[in-house]
Amino acid sequence: MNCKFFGALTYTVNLNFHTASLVNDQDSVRLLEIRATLIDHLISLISDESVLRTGLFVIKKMFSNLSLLFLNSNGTWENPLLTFISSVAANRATESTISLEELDSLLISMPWQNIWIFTIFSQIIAEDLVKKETTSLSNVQTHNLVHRHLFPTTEKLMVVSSKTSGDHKLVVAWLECLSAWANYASKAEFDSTERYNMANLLSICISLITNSDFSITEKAIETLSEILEINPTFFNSNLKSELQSLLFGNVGVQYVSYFSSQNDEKSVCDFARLIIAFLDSDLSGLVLKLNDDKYSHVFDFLVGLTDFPGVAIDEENVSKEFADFWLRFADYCLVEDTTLQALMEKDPASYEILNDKVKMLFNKITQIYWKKAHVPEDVAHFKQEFALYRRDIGDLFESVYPLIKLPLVVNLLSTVHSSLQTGDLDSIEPSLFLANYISKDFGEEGADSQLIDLVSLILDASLLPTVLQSKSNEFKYLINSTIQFFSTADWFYKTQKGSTYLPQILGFLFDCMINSNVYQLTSSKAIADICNECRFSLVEFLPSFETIISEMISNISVDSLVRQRIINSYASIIQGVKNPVIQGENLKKLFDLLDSKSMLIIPKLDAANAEEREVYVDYLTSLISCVSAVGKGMQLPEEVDGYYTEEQEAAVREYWDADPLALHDKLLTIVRNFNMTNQILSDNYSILEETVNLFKYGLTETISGPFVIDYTTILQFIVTKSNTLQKPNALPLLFSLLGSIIVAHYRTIDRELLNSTIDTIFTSKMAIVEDDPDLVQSSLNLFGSMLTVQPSLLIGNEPLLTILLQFGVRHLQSNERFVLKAIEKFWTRIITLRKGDRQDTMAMRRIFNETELGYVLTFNVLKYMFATQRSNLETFIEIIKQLVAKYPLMMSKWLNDSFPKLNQERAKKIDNWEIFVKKILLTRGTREYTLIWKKEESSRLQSVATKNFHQRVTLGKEVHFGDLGHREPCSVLALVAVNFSTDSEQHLLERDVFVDESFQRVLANTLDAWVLSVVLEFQKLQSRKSKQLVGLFVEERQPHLACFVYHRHRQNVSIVRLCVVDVALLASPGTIILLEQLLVAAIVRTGWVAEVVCLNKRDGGLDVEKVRFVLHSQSLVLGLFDSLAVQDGLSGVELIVGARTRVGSDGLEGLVGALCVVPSFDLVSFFNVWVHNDGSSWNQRQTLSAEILHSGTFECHHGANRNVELTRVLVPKTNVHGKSSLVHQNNVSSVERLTGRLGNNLLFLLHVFQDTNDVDHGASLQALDLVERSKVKVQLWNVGIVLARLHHSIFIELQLVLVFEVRELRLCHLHRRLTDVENLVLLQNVPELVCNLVESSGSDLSGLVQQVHVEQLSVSSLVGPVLHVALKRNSGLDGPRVLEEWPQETESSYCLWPEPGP
Amino acid sequence: MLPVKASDGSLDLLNWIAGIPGKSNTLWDHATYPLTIAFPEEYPAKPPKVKFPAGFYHPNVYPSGTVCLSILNEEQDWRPAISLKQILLGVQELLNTPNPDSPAQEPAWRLFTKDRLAYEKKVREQTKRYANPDK
Repeated sequence: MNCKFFGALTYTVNLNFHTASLVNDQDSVRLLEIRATLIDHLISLISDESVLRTGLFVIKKMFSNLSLLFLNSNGTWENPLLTFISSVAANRATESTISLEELDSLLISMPWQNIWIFTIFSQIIAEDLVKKETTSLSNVQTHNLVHRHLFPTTEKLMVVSSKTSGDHKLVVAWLECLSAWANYASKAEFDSTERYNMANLLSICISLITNSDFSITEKAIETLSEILEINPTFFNSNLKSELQSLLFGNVGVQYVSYFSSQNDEKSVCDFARLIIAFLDSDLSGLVLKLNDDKYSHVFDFLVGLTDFPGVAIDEENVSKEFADFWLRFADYCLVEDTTLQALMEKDPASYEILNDKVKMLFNKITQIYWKKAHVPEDVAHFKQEFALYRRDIGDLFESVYPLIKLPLVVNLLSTVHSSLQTGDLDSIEPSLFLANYISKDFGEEGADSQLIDLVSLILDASLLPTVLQSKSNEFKYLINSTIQFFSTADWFYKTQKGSTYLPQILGFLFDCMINSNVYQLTSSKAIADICNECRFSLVEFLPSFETIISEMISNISVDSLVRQRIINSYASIIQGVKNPVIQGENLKKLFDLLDSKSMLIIPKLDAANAEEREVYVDYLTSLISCVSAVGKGMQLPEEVDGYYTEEQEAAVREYWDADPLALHDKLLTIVRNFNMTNQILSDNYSILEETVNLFKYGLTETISGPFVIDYTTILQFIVTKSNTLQKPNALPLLFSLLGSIIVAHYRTIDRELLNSTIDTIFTSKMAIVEDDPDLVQSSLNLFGSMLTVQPSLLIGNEPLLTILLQFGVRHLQSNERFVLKAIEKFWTRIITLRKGDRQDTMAMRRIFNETELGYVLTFNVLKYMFATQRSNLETFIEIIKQLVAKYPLMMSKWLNDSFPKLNQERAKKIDNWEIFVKKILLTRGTREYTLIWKKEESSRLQSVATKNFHQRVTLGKEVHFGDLGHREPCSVLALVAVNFSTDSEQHLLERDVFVDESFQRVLANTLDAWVLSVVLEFQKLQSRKSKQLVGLFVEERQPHLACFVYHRHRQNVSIVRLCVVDVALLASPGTIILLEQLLVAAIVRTGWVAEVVCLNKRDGGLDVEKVRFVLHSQSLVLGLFDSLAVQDGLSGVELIVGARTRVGSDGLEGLVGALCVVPSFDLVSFFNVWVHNDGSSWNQRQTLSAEILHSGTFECHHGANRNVELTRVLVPKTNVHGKSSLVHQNNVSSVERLTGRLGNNLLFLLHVFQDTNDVDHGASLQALDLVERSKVKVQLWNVGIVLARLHHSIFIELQLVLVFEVRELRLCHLHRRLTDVENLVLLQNVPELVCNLVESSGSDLSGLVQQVHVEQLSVSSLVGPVLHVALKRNSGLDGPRVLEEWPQETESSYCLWPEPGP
Repeated sequence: MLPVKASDGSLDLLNWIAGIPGKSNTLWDHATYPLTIAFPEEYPAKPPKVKFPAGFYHPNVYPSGTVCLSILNEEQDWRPAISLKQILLGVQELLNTPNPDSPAQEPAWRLFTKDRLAYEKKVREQTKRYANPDK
């Protein structure tokens, strides 16, 4: 058998290798031969009993081969299943197939094994279809083919199969086949316009639930659950009611009770899954059923199932399945509450009843889960899975709380109280655990007095002592939950009553922390949180802390984080004391303790072995970080004014200036002990880091304090430390500390002392510094800070300045980003000298003008800029920009001198640098400079791009534009990009750029053959006037161009092109026709303003008469709707001929053309429903459309057009057309127009359904599915209408989902960072155009545009959607440039559009 | 992952809070790192802003706590099709596999690139700070 399998596998390999080429070569004869061979093999395999018995895997492999052949047949093989069945019937491979009508009788005559085999084949094809990933075009073809041929055959096969008596495995194969087809059908419905009716098969599947063979029942249940989860819309109302009566009727009850009695929990669990999948598809329906007594048995059944006996997870999983479900249901009730309220507006009593029922239901549910959340008797059973289950229950309680509100928490806490009295400790833990889930986010407002009283009552009833006594392992969850509850109960402590319990609670937490490692992290966190929140209430508690602090500091085994937290807590309380004497006393105790303990350990370091030493160093690091943490904790608030009264402040100053307890000395002693006494500590980075931090905390203080140390002492520390450091890695910390001193004391600092410090830590260590990028960076940051606050500190020190200037030039060659940032800061500060005085400025000018510095700097900046990574370019650009701005005349010389020298050094010469220099100098350091620079950078890539383009042209490849298979040679011109960096819009308009008739004329003449993208910076062009101008322009140019101004919410200029990339048919088949006629649709959105243009397209060309501008969101929808002339049902829908423009709404007065307000583009934002609710059938048709007066209110969920009154609603005229008929207008006795957010409106829908007998409850699901976010949001923008016939009695008009992608031209984003320079790759001169358009054009704008056209279009025409050049994306943008020249005859990976199919 | 909830139970759907569990068998294991996710009005056209608490120690987390991840950057790899699950998984993945080419904070980046042991020690300290209660 293995041999056979390898034979089959060999076929697979060869088919994978060769099928595509055979298909491409259209070698149909060869393909037919292969097919026949495979079929013949299969016939012989299935005729062999032994193979059927033990070699099914061989048969399946061969079926996969056939399936592979089918999927690659490009539509030439329509129905592999029928071919195979016919071949089996003929006992040889045959091409002639029997008709579908004959299939029934043929199948009936065959043995059940054949039916079984066919079913397996069908299943394999369906599975392979799901796996298949192809281009959208051929995918659609395949879907059509499958729907037309393969599925009907499968359906017939399965119907016959269901009636065939045979082996158990036939039914199993049948169910698996159904599952595979449901999976595929769901995919096909999304990818194409095909719609599958699976009702027949599903009905059979449902009937299998009652099968006498329980294994089949189980399999049927599993299959149904899967299908419901995949796509519940396959179930129509009949099926649903069938399923409902089964699940909640006798069958369900008997099923559950039978399997419960058999202790077969798994079967019940599977059944529960089916119920949940069924209910999930219609939560809104379920809510409404609560109000209907005839469904009470359903809820009783669900509650009973939830309460399935046994320990959760360990013995049963049914309640676990239901936990998620109830959570969703609770969220649904909460989120849709307003909708429910609105639905029952006319019957408030009914709404109240519903609310009560919801509460009652969740009361029962929470009681069940409270019980289920109990820690198992044997805690060994408390596994990770149970912990997750309890977390889910916690989430459920959190969701249920807003529904039941206070009684839920009261109930839980009352349980704690009563359990304390009865000694039932087991019930305390889940109550506290769940109460914590609810109360943790209460905040101060959430504290109800009833809750405060209850918690007090519990504490009075000795909860904490009781918990503390239960220290054995089995109670660890009780202790943990108690800690958790009290760590988040600040809503309780912050009340007057609650604060009196703080000592008791802290005592409990300390006890937990000290006595067991298990609770250290949680309880220390709780203590830190409480102390931080309630510091002012805890002053009295300071003495109690002393013992604990002593333990924390003395005990070397205490976790460093725990130690730090507790000392932080202590510092928080000390900080809350405004009396400096008390502060001083407590700090003294703390510092003494820290000092004495550290001095016990430090001497041991040298003698300790490596392991001990590590422990000691960690401990000592922890101690010094505690000191630093106290420093941080003792900092005064940023807004120090008003923190102290004048008297208090004077007392504080006086106290700390006098420092009677010599705490400053003590602090310095600690610092010295840690940093100067032992070489191991002295070289420890973390210890120095914490020391530097504690100094820094004092440097920013405005009033004297325990950590405010004289800066000269700190300078002394820096010098001493620098001299004793054996490893330079900690030197950056000293640079940083010196920087902080300078920032704090630059006005008064002793320059001599400063210079000598710099000399010690920097100048004398130059050799070390130069070699280490970290030292280079940190030292440059230090000098950058000096230049920022007081340049004279540096410029006044001539020897240092000389060294630094050379240093700064040398390190331009660095590759490290942080170093370059420091370099940039250093040079820009030294060039601009913003805080410099006259003397500084004169000194620096002299240096730049009279020495070589300017030239050397310019040369080196240019040199290293050409060598650096893209992401670092900004650094160099910034330096040159500042040089141009500050030294424009000299810079000309420096640049002119630098480029020739650069060219001497470079292998690849820089051409035309003279022009570049002129342009740079013209900008005088303004923003245009950046643009020019970007261009220069991009032009380096230009030649490769151009070559690639010509290569493409040589190969005869067109640049395609369009979609849906249309081929439109197209070029895109980026014509006008205006840099508004300094111009106000008014200024711009004054220049008459957009009102210049000649400009528009030129555009008109130029653009007949072009799609134009006009680029405007959005924020500067919000005025009515500018919109009007653009509107006029568009209006004038229709229909030859699709012109859109696309604004983005950011400050840059974008040149964009909008292309329809796909049109999703989400509803009835006819809709696609409408969509296909929209060649280009584009939206411009700014706030709520959008511009929409739809071009109708026929016969592959743009139709002049079919352009339509829509003005308003309602107009957008109604207007498009208005334009639907329904012919032959929806299949004949087309846009009405004739463009029409309207005057805009109030906010857009004066607009002509393409401006409209749309409510949202985020998926389907609203829909309208027409329902016939008089109860009679609506299958009539053949009427004309008519306007129906409507008095309802159109509620738009956001945007400016909220609550716009509608005066009319259109109902489409419909024709008799079999099943595709729509609502008959004559029969519409009343029309309900329902709008709003989709989610809310589903309930409206349901309401409608409820009142309508002839209604398909599945309709809401279908609507939901249509707009399932995950399916639609892959595209950027959506707008339009979807027409959906959900049921013959309901007609839904949804927003058309017109899916298209905003494609930015490669040359866009002129203001983006240089890192995006690849966008400019094909833009040779547009930056110049951008910069100079307004200024240079003068009166001859048209001449300029013509010139641009002639000179630049040859370049910009390359900028089609199919660029033959790619810059691969590197998210970090740090890699080398990756502009590639593609090898000959290689297609562009950017080619978005599939080539039209055969 | 939950939307921010007001005391009346109403949900602020634009601001979510989440906890990212550290991946098993990594330095980040046994802790849950708090995360806020702020959705702009334009979501999904624009990416959400994902933040850890300020000062979070990681090479690709800015001092403000904002996560520097290409899929969260509109100008880089953000696509409207990226799901929340993918974002959370991306952030979880990022925890243990920082991208040194895209540093967002200096201290963590420096240690990560130059002194891996010291970096790991710092991460372990942070892990304890966010340790799961049942650990």
